[in-house]
Order: sequence, then C-alpha cells, then structure tokens
Amino acid sequence: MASVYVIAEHRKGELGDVTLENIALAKELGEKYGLAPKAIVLASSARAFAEELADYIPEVLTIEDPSLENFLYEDYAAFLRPAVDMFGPGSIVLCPHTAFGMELMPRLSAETSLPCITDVTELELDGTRLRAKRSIYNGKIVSSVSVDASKGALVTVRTGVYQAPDKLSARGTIEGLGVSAEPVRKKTEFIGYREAPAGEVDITQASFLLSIGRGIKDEENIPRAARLAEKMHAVLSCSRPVVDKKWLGKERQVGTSGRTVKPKVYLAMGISGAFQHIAGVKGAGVFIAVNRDPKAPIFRVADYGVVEDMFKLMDALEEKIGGER
Amino acid sequence: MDILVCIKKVPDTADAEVILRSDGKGIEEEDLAFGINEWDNYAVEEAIRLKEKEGGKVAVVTIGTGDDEDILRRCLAMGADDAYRIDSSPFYMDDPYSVAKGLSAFAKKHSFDLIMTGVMAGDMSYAMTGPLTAGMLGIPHTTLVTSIDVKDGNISVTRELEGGLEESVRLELPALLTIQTGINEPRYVSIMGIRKVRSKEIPVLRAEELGLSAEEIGEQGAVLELESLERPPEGKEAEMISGSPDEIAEKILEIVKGVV
Amino acid sequence: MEFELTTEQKDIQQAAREFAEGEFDRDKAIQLEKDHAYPRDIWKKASELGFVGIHFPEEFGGQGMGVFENVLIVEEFCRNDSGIGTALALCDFSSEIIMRHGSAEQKERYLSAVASGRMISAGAFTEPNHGSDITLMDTRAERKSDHWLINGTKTFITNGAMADFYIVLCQVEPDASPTYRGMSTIIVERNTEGVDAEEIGDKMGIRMTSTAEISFSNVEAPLENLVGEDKKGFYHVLEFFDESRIEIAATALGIAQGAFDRALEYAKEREQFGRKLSDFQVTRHKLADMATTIEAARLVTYKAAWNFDKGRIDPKLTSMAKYLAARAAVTVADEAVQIYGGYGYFTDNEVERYYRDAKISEIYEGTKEIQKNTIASQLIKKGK
Repeated sequence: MASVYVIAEHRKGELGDVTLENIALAKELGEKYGLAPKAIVLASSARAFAEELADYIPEVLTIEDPSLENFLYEDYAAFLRPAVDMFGPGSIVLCPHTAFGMELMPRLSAETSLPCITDVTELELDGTRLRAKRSIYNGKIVSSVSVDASKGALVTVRTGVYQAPDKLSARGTIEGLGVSAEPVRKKTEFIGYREAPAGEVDITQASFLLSIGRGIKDEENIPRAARLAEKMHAVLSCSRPVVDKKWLGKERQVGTSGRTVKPKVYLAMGISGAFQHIAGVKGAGVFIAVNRDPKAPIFRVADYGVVEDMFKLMDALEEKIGGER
Repeated sequence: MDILVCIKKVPDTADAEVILRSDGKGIEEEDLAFGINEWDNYAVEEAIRLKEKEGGKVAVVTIGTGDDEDILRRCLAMGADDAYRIDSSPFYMDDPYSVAKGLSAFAKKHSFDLIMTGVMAGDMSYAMTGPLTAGMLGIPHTTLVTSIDVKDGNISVTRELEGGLEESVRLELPALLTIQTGINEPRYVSIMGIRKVRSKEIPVLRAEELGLSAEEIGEQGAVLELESLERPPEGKEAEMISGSPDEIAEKILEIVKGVV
Repeated sequence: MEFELTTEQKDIQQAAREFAEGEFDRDKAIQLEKDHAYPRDIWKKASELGFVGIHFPEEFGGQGMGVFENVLIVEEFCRNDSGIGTALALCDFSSEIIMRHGSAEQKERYLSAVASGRMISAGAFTEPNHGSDITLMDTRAERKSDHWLINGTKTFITNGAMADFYIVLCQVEPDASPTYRGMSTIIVERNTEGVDAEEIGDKMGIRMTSTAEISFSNVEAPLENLVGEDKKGFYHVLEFFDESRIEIAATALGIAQGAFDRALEYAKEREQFGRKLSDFQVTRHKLADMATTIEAARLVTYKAAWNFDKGRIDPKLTSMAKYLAARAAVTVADEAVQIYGGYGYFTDNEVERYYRDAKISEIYEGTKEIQKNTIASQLIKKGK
C-alpha cells in the first residue's frame, strides 16, 4: 500500500514544530486517498524524537547512524535514496519548506526518479497526478502545478499553513527502517552552528512592536521610525529587506529566518506581507497593517488595515503623541 | 577561480499590481518592469567580489530570448567577464527541471570551479533550480548561502537557518551555491562598466549544441507542469480604517491603548 | 529613420534609473529642499559611476559619449526627482565651454575635476542690467601684463555660491563694434581674492541648487585662464547655449514625465463618487493630453540631441526642444497637481514640487520668448 511519509526535521536535539504541521497534512492526505501516514526520523539517536512523534502519527520509522547527528545533504541522501526505493509506487514524501527541506528535496529528486514540488500550500491526488497549489509573484497569484506521482513524489510544504494535529488516542508504533547507507565519497562537511549576534534588544519579549519594511525606502528614514517607536513605547522591528540592506540588525528581523514574535500589538508599516515574514508573527494580539498598496497580501492577515503612505501616518502619529504629553 | 552565475529575468511584482491574464495561464506583463531576479543579482555581485579577491573569471548565463540579453549585459557592466544566452525557444520554461537540464548541460561544456545562482526566483519561488542543477552535475551544493570563504580548493560558507541561526558548511570544489539576499550590497552599474560591454559578444547557444533534444526540455518532457493561475482566495480581510492621516492615527492610538 | 535607442543607450537609461531608484528619496528631497542644501553625497556617487560628464572626452575623465546619452541620464534623474535631478544635471554647467574651446591644460584641470565629482562649475553670464540681452557686458576684464583684472557683478548665477570655478563672460574691449565682438570668456576660481558670492534669496523651485549674485572686485585671473579665442566669448557662450538648451530640455522632459507618472498612479488609485479617478472621462482626457504633450517634447528633444551629436548646430531645433519641453513640464505638472486636487497642493505629494521646479525651465537658459525669437529669426532669415 502506498504511504505518505513525513521526514522529521530536527536541529540541536530539538524536533521542529514544522514536522507536526507536515504530519497534519500527511494525515489529511491519508484519510482522503487511503494512504498510510508515517514519519521517518533520521538521527544519530532517533529514539527521543520517535517517541515524541508517536503521539501524533500511527507509525514512526527510524534510521540511526552517527553520521546523521547534524543535517547534511550527503549523509541524509545516502540513506534516503535507497529508502525511497522501498516506499513503493505512489508514495508521497513530505518535508517542510525550510532550510532543511529546500536543501534536501530538490536534490534528492535529481538523484532519484521521483519528481518534486516545493513550497506547496495544498495538495490533491488526481489518479496518479499529484497537484499542488503554490503562492507565486509575491503572494499575489496562486498557481496549480502537477507532477506524475505514479512512482511517488517529493514535496516541501510551506510552513505555517497547517496546524499541529491533536494527539492520537493510541500512540503510534516505532520501528527501525532497515536501510543501509549507499557508500559515498563525502564532499561536504558540517562545521558548526552560529547564533546571530544577540544585539541590544529582544523583540520576542516585546508587547508592542512597530515593524518597518521595504516601504521605509532609505536608511536616513530609520531614525524617524526609531523615534516614533520610542514615543509610542514600542520596540522597533523590521522585515527582511531592511536587514538585507543592513539598516537594522538581524536581531530586529521578524520572520522565519529572523525571530518569531508574539506581541500584544503588531503595527506593520510598509511591509507587503511575504509569508516568510507573516510566519514570524505568531499570535499577535492585534495586528495593524499600513501599506500604500490596497492589494498587499498583509491585509489578508492583519486585523486592521490602513491604505496610506507610511510616512504621512508616522508624522500624524508623532504629532498626536507629542500633543498628548 | 572560474565562476558561473545562472541568472533569470523576472517581473518586479513586489510593489506592482499583478493582473491575471484572461486565459488563466499567465499574468499581464505589459505594465510590469522586468529585471534581473533579486537573488541572482546578489549572486552576481558575490561572484565578482570573489573574482576580485581570488582571481579567475566570472561568466553569467541565462536561458532566454533576445529580450533577456539586457540582464546579461548588466552583469558584464558590473564586472562579469563573459555572458552566454541559451535560446529558450525549445524549453518549457515553467518547469525548473527543463531549466536545470539546460544549465547543467551548459556547465558540463565548461569547467567552472564554482556555480552560483539565487536561492529562488521572485516569480515562481520554487527554489529548485540550484539543487537540481547540482544534482544533474553530481557536484556538492548548499542553499541559502550568506557568506563565502575560499581556502585551498575548498570553500566554507554559512547558510541561513531559521530563527536567526546559521550553520557553517565546508564544500569541495567544484560546487554549487544558492545565494541568499543580503549577502552583500550589489553595486550600481556604472557608465564605465557599460562601455566595457561594447567589446563583448554574447554567444547564443541552441539546445542541440548542448546535446539536448526538444523532447527532453520541451513541454512533453516536463516533470513539473504549470496548469493554471488564479487569484488568491479572499480569506480573512482586515477591517479597513479610513480617513485623513490624523483620524487614522487617532484610531490606531485608541486601539493600541486598549491592548498595551 | 530609426526611432529606437541602441542597446547601449537602453543600458545607460536603465543604469540611471536604477541609480535614481536606489539613491533618490522623496523625504530626503523634501528635507534638502527645505534646507536649500545640495545633494552632495548623491552627486559624489553619481560622479564616481560616470553619470556626470558622460559627454566629456575620455582623456579628461569623461565617458566620451554624446549629448544624447547625457539627455537620457538627465531625463531619468529628473523623472525620479525633479529637485535632485535638476541639481545633478546642472553640476557641470557650462563646463562644455572649456570642453569645446579650452586648452588641454584647462581641460585637464577643470573637466577631469568636474567629471570625477571634485568640482562644480558655473557659467557667469547674466548681469543685473543684462538678462536676456547679453550683447553688452558691464563686467570688465582688462588685460594686464601677466593677468586679467576683472571688475563687475553677475547675477542669477546657477551654482553661484557653491561652484569651484566660474566661466565669466567679460567685456574686454568696451568700444568694440558691435559690442559683443569685444567679449571674452575667462575662468575665475571661486577662492580667488575679490570674488564674492551671495545667495540671492528664497526661490520658487530648484531650491537644492544655489542661485547667487557674484561680484568681482579687482579680481586677478592668470592670462592663460582665457577660454578659447580672445574677443570670441560671446560666440562661445551662444554656441554653448545651443548645447545647454538641449540639457535643459531634458530636465524639463524628465520633470514632465515624473509628474505624469505620479498623476497616473494616483488616478488609478483614488476613488471619488464610488469610481476611480481614471474612470472619469475628464481625467482620462487630461492623462491623454499629458502623455501626448510629453511624447512630442521627447521626440524634439531627442532629435535636437541626436542632431548635435552629428556635429550640426541648429539653433532653431534646440530652441524648439527647450521651448516645447519646458512648456510640457509646466503644463503637465500643472495638470498633475489638478488631478491630485487638494492633496496635490501639499509638499508630501511631490507634484507641487514638480510644478515649482518646472517653471524655471521656461525662464533660465533663455526665456521661452527668447527661444521663440531664435526660432522665428531662423525661419525668417533677415535679408541683408
């Protein structure tokens, strides 16, 4: 019987939440199309991860090897290439669309006969055709793409789309997947992790974030935003383009590659709302978005929206606060 | 060190309205500004910086039409040494596998120490072309690269993970890297640079010359098929606050006061 | 006949556009304008990238290209920001007199410095009593044994208070007949003793540039500072106007296009009576008129630049370009403010600044009336 597999993502001894999101999708597909949902843990010591996952999925398979302590494409693929051959035709392999999945799945596809679709938000099986919805053109369009999944398919799933499932009433089974690594001459080597410099602020603890994005336009406008944040008793944060330009430090970046925040108020100015950014705003009490473009995707996640030039609004806010004091 | 950078021309949709074509197969392109994919631009800059430091040459390649040569010339003006265009007409360009077949076939005909491309492209955002190409070439790769350091036939890079974390990886050359935005500050094109382009020819290569058949790279050989496009679902909509900036500011402060 | 830019020209246009998008900023522009400050850092960067003096010869720091390429850059800069664009376009003002007539030493010293962003130039022609009519100069230059002794006052001098050197149109022989055959152009560096530059005061537009009155009181300039031929200064300046009018036309063209871009965007966004402004015929016709006006101005400006680069002097054509493009700037900016309505009257929306910056193009470098005189006199050749 064909199955739907979730490759668990873990780093520094911790299982990623995103794996549970993938399990939710695997179970949904399982019910819809009669596929058996299974998780696969590749690790130097897989037991703890497997135990954790067995709360959510009926079957957990483990591949244990000292080389699998830290994720490195070559080491994972040495096991996964033979593993996918064992999965049987029509099986679907899921992985989060993260630094882990992006590194692994397209490459695995090139080295096996399985097609790959990345960054999907929805999946459906139409006979042997696997169809996915994907967000393209900066979130302004949704595309439908498909691959022939008769031999199986590899998929990376956008994070933050699916919710972690409820625990099972009966815990799943844990079993070793009897597969040995293909011999490879290694050409890559994991050296170590590097924490981004902590900086002087911790935006994850802020109750009020004033967040600025591409709309700030120029480095010279940063002090203006900082001044307003201070007056409003907010902490200044930002989206990726501001950090890419080095106008603010990485420690102020909200988003998947930056920090995940949970403020009581999130006031986003000049941020269009790329999913990588939105995924970093988990459970904001009130989400207010200011953007000049009425069609900006951020208005689909915000509680309140303002279509206005951010600078005009910044001036108005500053004036109002100034008057109150 | 000889470096190849694979680039693509995409529409700038960050601040523009994107209108669906009536056939649902594409978007209205007329009012959009097209340019080099943002991620690729960082890759080109990084390649040129490496060349300036380590010596060697930088070549850029795109699979495209004659209209796409402007991004190649742009790279030459920035400091790339050679530019090649693979004629896109037989390619099914919506399929990253077709594109990767073209790029890997091209790379095989030369000997590059390093291949770079953007993490993804701003249009379709697959993030597949780089790793697929590396897979087809059988060379090591890593994605989401945020810094590069070259040392005796190896390169050490940092790659961006989640939550502000990075990891360092060492790769044997030749290798392929996909470059993340923010790795550097790409230079502007100078007039001096544009003048240098005068003396450059941009060779145009046909798929057959790369040993690729229309069946492999055309629609019938596609692995990934783009079926249709649609507008995103309406979903939740924010409650819109309207009025003069003053009135809006007042309303925002009220909301904030109620919560913080 | 070919109406398409070469690939190189397209690349130049694109490079200028990317530079302007990256470096010009609305809020910065508003602040600079308030402070009457020159965009120095942007000017430096633009010079380093070869955007300044693109039409200067390579051996003197330029890029060896034509007036046409300069027009493309100026148009893009002014389109992105009327104030910053104009300020950058004018930074090499009248250096062309040195380029066309100067000695190798003068070119080495001044053109290279202007092209690399080390010096700003100014042309000192207008006098309090001689505005549009420069056939007689009150500023006197006396040839002494080893220097020129200059006395007089120049006014409305663009870049006046910040230029590093002036090309001064002086009367060297007051009794010459006609008087304009007794004039010479002489370079005076600003830090020379006896030179005093005073900002004239607040002005309507182009507030990032200096407009000054300059007085020369017993100023001594080396004899070798004579540019071109002695007593041919008037002709050098007139010939320069043929070239500079094209550049001013390009600033006007860019201002018109920039005002139009903003108005079009606003018309597509703004709703009144439940409809977009761009759905009302009155707005649609306005936009059609604006676009048509700009297109016509562009064709004449490009043609004038192209013709100049072919080595042909055609005062009628350059005057037409300047007249038409300046008119386009003024009318298009006016309509842009109108489309914005009340909002357009406020500084934040930029179009009011475009409107104010547009007007000067109908005044400086020869008023539109002077341009019409030039056109008419070429049409109706005076029989002698």
